[in-house]
Amino acid sequence: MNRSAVLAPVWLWLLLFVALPVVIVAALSFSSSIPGVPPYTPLLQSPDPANYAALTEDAFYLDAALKSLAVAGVSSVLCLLIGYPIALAIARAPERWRSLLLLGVMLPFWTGFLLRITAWIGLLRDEGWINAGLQAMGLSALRLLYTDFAMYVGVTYAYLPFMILPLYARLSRRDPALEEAAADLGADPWTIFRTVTLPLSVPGIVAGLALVFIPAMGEYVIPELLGGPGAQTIGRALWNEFFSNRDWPMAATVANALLLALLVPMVALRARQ
Amino acid sequence: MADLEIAGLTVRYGPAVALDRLDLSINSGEMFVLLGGSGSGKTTLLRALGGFIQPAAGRIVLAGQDITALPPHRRPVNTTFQSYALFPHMNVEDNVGFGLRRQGVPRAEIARRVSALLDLVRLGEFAGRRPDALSGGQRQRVALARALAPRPRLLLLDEPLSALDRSLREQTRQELLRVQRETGTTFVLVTHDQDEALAVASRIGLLHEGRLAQVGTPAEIYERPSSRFVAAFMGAANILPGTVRTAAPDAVLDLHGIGPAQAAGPAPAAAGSTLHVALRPERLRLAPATAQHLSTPPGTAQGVNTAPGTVTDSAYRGGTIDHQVRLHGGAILLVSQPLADGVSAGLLAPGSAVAVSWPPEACVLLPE
Repeated sequence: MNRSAVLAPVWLWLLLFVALPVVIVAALSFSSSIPGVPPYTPLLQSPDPANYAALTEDAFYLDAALKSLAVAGVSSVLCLLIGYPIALAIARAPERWRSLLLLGVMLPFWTGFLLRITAWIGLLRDEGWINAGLQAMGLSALRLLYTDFAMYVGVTYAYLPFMILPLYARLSRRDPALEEAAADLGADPWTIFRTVTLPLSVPGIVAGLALVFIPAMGEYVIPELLGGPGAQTIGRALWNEFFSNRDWPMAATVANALLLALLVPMVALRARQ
Repeated sequence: MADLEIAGLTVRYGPAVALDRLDLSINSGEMFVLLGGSGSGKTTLLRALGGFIQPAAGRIVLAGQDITALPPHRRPVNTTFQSYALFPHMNVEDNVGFGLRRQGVPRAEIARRVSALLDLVRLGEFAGRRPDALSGGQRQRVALARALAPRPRLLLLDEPLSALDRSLREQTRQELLRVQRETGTTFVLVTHDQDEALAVASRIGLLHEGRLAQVGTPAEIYERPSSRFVAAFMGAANILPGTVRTAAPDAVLDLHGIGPAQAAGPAPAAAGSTLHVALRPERLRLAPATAQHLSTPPGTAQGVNTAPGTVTDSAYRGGTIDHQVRLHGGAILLVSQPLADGVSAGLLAPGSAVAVSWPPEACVLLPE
C-alpha cells in the first residue's frame, strides 16, 4: 500500500483539528470586536494589529502573564521536589510492587478532573476537613480556600502524575551497577545520589518539568476554583475576554501570545540540541 | 603473610545456601583466582568481599581489620565490575578521579595521580573522552585505573576478560599481570575460564556449590586434583572407575573397561576399594596396533599401561588432533595428539586399529 495513502488520515486530522484552528485563531486576533453574531468583523477583511498593541499597553495582561509564570514555575518545582522521591521509590521497589504503585499514581485520572478539584474545596474551605482537624487539636482555623496557597496546592496536586511518570520511566532504566561502583569507590548514599543518580536522570527531569510547566501556564480551572480574586492568571484573563466581555478577537490575541511564549523557547531549545 | 582472612563465611539467598562456611586466606600482593562454574558462589564471594552482600555468618578480616559489617564505601576494597560500570556522564579523567574526590584528595594531586594511572594503563591521550567513545578493551583499562586510584588494599576483578574478544583477551591479560606487579596490590579475580585461571593465578581457589573444592597453585590444581570434580573442571576428559589391587609403594589398579594399570606413588585407598583415575588426553600416546595387540582377548594384560582399541572419531584442533578411541575392553578414551611441525598428513583415520599407552605418572588417582 502507498505510504502517503496510509498517512493521509493523519495529515487530514492534523490539518482539520490542529492547523486550521490555529489559523482561524490567528486571523481572529487581527479582527475587531463588534456587537452581533458572530461578535467580530469578518476575518481578514481589514487586518488590524490593535489587539496586540492593547496587549502590550495594558498592564493587566502583562501582570496576568507574570502571575501564570509564577504559578507554573512554582508548581513545576514543587512537583519535582515531591515527585522525584516518589518516582525513585517506585523505581527501587521490588519488581512485583512497581505496577501496583504506578497504578496508584494514575488512579486519580479515573475520576473527573473537576470532581477532584472540587474535593479540594471541601478540604480547604473555612469549615472544611483541614480546619476541623486543626480545631480538634485546639488550634485556630486558617483561611485556606481562595488563596494563592490553595491554588498552588491544586496545581501541584493536579500535575504531579505528569512529573512522576517521565521521571519513573528514566529512573527505572538506570543501571544499578553504576550506583554500586560509586559506593565501591567511597561514595556514601547521599553522594551517590548527587553524583550519579541525579545527573543521569536529567532528561527525565526536563521532560517532567515541560509536561507540568506548559499546561500549568495556561491553567484556568484551578485558579478560578481555588485561587483568590488576585490570582489573575493568563488563563483566567482569556476566559474573561471570551465569556464575560464577549471580545473574541482579544481572547484570540491572548491565546496566540501564550502559544508563542511557550513555542519560541521550545523551538530554540530543540534547535540548540 | 596473610592479608585477607575469610573465616566461616556463609551467605544465604532465602533457603538457598550460596556460600557454605567458607574458609580462605589470601596473601599480600597475590593474584588469587576464584574459579568456578555458574552458581558455584564465586560472584557471591566477590560481592561479599566488596560489601554488597551481608553474610549470614562468618568474618572477613583485611589487614588485621574486621570489615564484615562495613558498608562498601568504608572498605579499602575496590572492584572492577563485569560490565565495567563506567559513569557515562563523566569523561575518562573524572571516572578515574571519582574515588580520589571521595577521599578528599587535593585537586592538584588528583590530577597528578589520575594522569599517572592513565599512563600505567596506556590511556594517556584518552583522558577527555567519554566512555561511550572507547572500545571494550579501553573501557576495561579505565575500569582498572578507576579501581586502583584510591590505592585499595584489595582489588576485586569480576570476570575482567569475559567481554573481550579472543585476541584482545591475551593482551589484556598480560596488561593485568603487569599492572598487578607494578602496583603490588592484592588482586582477587573471578572467572569461569580454567585456561585464564591457569595463565594468571599465583593461586587458584576452585569453588563448587558454595565450598572450596581445592586451593593451590595452578600446577597443583592441574596435576594433583583432589577430587573427581576438580579433575573434570580442569579439563581431564578421561575419568575412569577402578579397583585398587596393590596400594603401596606404587599403586596397581584394575581399570574397568581397560585392564590393569600401574600408577606412580601410593593409592589414597586400601587394596580392594574402588576409586577414580584421571588420564589426561595429552598424556596418552597413540600407536598403530601390532599383531600381538590384536590377538590378545579384551581386558587382559598386554604390557604395562597399554590398551588396544579403534579410533571412532577425530577432530582437528590446530595445535593438536583429538581422537576418540573405543578400547576393546569397552571404555572410551579421548587422546590428544600433538601435531609436530603442524603437519596433519599421515594421521590415523577413524576405523584405524590402535594401541593407547601412558606412563605411570599420567595416572592421577582421585580419592572418592
